[in-house]
Amino acid sequence: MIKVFYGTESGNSEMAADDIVELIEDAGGAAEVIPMEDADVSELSGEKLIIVVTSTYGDGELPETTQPFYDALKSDRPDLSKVSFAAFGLGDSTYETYGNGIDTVSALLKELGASQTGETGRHDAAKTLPLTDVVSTWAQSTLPIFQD
Amino acid sequence: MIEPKIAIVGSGPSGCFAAQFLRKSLPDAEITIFETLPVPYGLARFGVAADHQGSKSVCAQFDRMFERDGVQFAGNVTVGDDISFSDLRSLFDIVIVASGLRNDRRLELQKDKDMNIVGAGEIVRALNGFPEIDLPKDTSGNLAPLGQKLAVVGNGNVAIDVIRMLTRPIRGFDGSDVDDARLLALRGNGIRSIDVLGRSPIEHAKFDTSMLREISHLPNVKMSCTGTEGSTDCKALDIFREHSGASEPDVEIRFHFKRVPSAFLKNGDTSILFTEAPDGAEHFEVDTLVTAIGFFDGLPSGHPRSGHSWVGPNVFRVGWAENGGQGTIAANRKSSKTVAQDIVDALTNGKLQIGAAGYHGARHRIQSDIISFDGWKRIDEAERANRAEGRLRNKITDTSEMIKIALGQVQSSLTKCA
Repeated sequence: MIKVFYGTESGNSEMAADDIVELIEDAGGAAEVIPMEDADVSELSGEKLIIVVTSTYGDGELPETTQPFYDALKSDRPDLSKVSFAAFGLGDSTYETYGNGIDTVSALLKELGASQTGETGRHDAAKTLPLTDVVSTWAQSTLPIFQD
Repeated sequence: MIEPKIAIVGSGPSGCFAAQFLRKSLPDAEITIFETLPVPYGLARFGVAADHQGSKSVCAQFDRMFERDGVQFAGNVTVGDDISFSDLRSLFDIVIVASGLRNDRRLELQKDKDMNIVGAGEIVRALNGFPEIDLPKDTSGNLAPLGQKLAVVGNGNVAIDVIRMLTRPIRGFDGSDVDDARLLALRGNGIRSIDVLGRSPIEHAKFDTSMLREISHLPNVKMSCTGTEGSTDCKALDIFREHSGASEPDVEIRFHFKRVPSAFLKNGDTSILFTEAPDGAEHFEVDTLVTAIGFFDGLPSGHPRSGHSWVGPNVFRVGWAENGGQGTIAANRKSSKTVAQDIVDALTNGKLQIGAAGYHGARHRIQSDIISFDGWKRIDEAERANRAEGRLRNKITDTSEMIKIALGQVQSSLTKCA
């Protein structure tokens, strides 16, 4: 079961996470969506692959629901050396801190030993490409289940 | 299995989020969102600035909800006119009031007759193609120019939206859906200065610093500030310090902190805004005064369309209709989530009776042509087909034209040229 963690302000990251789960299930895999504020970071060490999705809030800060996940990782410091992760970020290039959120979370996961699979996906809400399409393209080029 | 019939009044973000959260917990509930206009999304379509498409992107979530998740859109239905609120309340098990706040709160101050005072929300709506606009018009019915010298009372994000849209170079509107004709009309021969008054010290100013930063990066403006002596270090102060601004600016934007207006009076052909602050009184010559001090519903209590009188044991409220106009879309999403959970809990505990007729009982009582989501999609297509270069859509501002297109009564003159 691949866990897809999302942190959101306006619900767009949740929709992206829902899409990712649907894509994995359509490809015959199993995945579940977990809000970051409900995540138990002590269980992460045993995961093979996790997916993190977050937006950026205000002047480059983490969304309110991403922050507790980040803080828990920072204080509990689980050993993630056997974990790989894929990352997708949402942002708005109207603001110069576009996409900071996912980079902040990814950097911490790497610091805790996790290795990233593929490139960080990014959606810019100020552009007209639909989120669903960008998520789909990213997932198919990044997630192992689509690589066989 | 709980299958309540739920009516939501208002299709703005708070109403749509409430529907979205309810749908997750109650897959078999009947959920109908009523909307006065033939088009959905309220504040997301008309209140979020036209050049902030990123903030409008929540609409993609709502599109999906209407298209895939069985939430019904009933547009062109004004609760209080086309169906009474008491009928709605008896025809549905649960009613959620999500009607937002329509009007700019009025500034109380001493003033002469016929002063040019306009609401910031009204400007944002005008530039978003809202059908009915309450702004000064010239003799041929077009929007009148605001003049060269503006003052804005209030410095929250709506004030910043107006300042940015009235000053930003036109090429900066690429990728937006701004109403260009109205934008040019309001700008007239060009706005040269904007004095922005805020009651609080800069460290407590209402705007988000990301919004102030965006203005500071406009290529054609010069920003400055007064009233910051003795203020503690803060991001906003840094933005002013780092801002060098255009050497020959089109527009000077002067922020005045800790300064409040006291009177707006005629002096011959000019209008003078008198202000007060701890460091002394000051007056500004102003062509138009823009108020940006929040919103209210603008209807007398007891009016059939006033949400104030919409109460009852099965009535819930979300968003600005609940909190008097506080918070962003994200903050109000949380309140919709909480209220949806309260409703689910009340249903689970048997505290709400169910068994009402629902939409199929209500539709025959409704006095207007109900516009479905498919009808809105036809309007949407027509608007997109008729877009100008660099624009996402050309919003239709005539409600009767919207209705005709939605009902398939006209091949839109717009779609023909697509």
